[in-house]
Amino acid sequence: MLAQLASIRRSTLASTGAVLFLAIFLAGAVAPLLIPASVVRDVQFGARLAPPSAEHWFGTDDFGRDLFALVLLAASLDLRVALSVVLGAIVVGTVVGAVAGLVSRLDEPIMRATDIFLSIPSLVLAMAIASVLGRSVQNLAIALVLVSWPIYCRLMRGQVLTEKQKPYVKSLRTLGVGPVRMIFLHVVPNTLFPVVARAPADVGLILITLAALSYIGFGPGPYVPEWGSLVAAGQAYIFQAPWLVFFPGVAIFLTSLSLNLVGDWARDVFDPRLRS
Amino acid sequence: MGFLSYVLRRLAFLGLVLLGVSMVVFFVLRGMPGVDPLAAYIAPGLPMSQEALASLRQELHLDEPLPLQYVYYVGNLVKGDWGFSRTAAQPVLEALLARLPATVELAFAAVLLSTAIGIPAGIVAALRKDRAADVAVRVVSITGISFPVFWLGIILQLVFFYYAGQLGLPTLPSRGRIGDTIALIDPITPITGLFLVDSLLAGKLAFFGSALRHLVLPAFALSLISLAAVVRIMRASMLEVLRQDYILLARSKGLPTRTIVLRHALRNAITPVLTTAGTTLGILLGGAVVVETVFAWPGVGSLAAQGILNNDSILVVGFTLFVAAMMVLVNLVVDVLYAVVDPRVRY
Repeated sequence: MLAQLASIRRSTLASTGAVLFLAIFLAGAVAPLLIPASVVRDVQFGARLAPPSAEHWFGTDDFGRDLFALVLLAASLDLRVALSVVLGAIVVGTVVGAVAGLVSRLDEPIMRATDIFLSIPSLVLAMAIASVLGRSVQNLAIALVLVSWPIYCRLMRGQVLTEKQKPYVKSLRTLGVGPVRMIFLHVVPNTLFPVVARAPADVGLILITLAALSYIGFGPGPYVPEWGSLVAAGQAYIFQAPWLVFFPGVAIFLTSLSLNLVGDWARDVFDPRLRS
Repeated sequence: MGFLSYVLRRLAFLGLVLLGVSMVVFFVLRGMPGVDPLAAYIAPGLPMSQEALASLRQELHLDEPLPLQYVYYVGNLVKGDWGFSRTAAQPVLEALLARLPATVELAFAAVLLSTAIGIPAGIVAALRKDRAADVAVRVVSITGISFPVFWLGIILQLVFFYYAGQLGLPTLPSRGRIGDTIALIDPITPITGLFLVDSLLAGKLAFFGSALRHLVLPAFALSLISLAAVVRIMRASMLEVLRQDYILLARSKGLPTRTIVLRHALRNAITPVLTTAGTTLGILLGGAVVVETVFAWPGVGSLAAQGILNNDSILVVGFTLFVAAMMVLVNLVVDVLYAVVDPRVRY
């Protein structure tokens, strides 16, 4: 597996993506430490809608706040939410999927449930769930986990079903290893890589879905910087101050591009069905 | 078994899928922990007496056990009673159906665009596997899925409406389905609700032109959502078909590559693109929520987005059910057409 991971260096596209993502990730991680909270709160109407300059690299917004600082702070929120959503979906999906693969009595009901979830477009279902829970970023994250786990569940189940047939599982069973121990100590570690290979592209997809839902109204409001909300807020000034829409959008685009470049490579390397 | 019984069995199966979907939707509406289901039915901030709340609760059967509530819920859905939308000031199903043609027109244009670009691009990528053209198609399609569509829509408006206008170039409209003036002075009577079709039927070319110009930017933005999927599926399936023995035979007979690809391979390679039409439609309807909002397109998606802003969960949940039902319907049509076209499909 490590050899496969190291092969990323041979793909120009994937390594560019990885470097780009790490740079954005680091910027998002340090932004809240370096940028004082007052940047978000202090309204300076004198400096409203100033174009990009040496002082304000991305210009200022309709509250006179520095857009560069807002975009960086938003990186921290968007990445945190997208990464935790995918992590949550992987945990829920792989556990439920492993159960489906190992306990044949539960296999059929679990698979039919995932069928139903997968028959509704995830953005639309997430919209409905978040709308009932109430508009907030936290509820949006919950909704996104609820619509993202079934795909991991299916993948994991398929993996476990093939893994179950292998001799080492049978010999461990003869040795008296129980089902829980079997799943978590032996089967999951051996089957996790193809499942996790989906993750980079999925983080990219969740990031865009999050920004889109935030744009249409699930956003956290003007005092919590988030990329989709920044675009929505800037849209009112699109002809006067196009930079307000341009820079947050470029941030979303570059982040999701970096993740998709890595994801495209990961799928080829780790997906056993595509290996030839 | 006959064709009719195949169709009936597909219908029964899709009925089951719809039942499952209705369970998920019902659970979202009534079963979320910590959420009072009554809240969805009341406008926030509306003063209501305890008695009024209690009688509403009773009327909606919210005091009954959940399984019984579900029976009432499905019964109402079947009768066409999907609840009342505060946003549209109309029953949910009525409001969605009234706005459906606008969305159908937009989604259909997007499908046309993404297949017209995606299928040739996928074929080229497969024929030139791992060469420059394949890498180029791959990079372009990865770039395409990485664009936040709402942002791209705004940038398109900025370039083709605002900047083009400032430079004195021909512009494209940025909002709505039709020019205000033409809609006032020379309106058409809706027949199908699709502006392009209705205006042609009425022979009103100016109306047709305006509708077409309004369609360009939103359809292009929406098509990007499904484009990458079409390219990827087309490429993979073409590669698969080109490995088959009958292609080898065609090659050894000395047929030109052009004939082999277009006459022999394409026919078989294109079916996976068609069978994923239902899924593609679902993705497009999700995308329509965002694209319609950006372009003020009066379809079901922008209505749902307004519903979110108004905390109108009844509408948003109804929209979810509506989208799922449309996908099921399209899947049925595709399955049936597939069985008609492809003799290998056994009923």
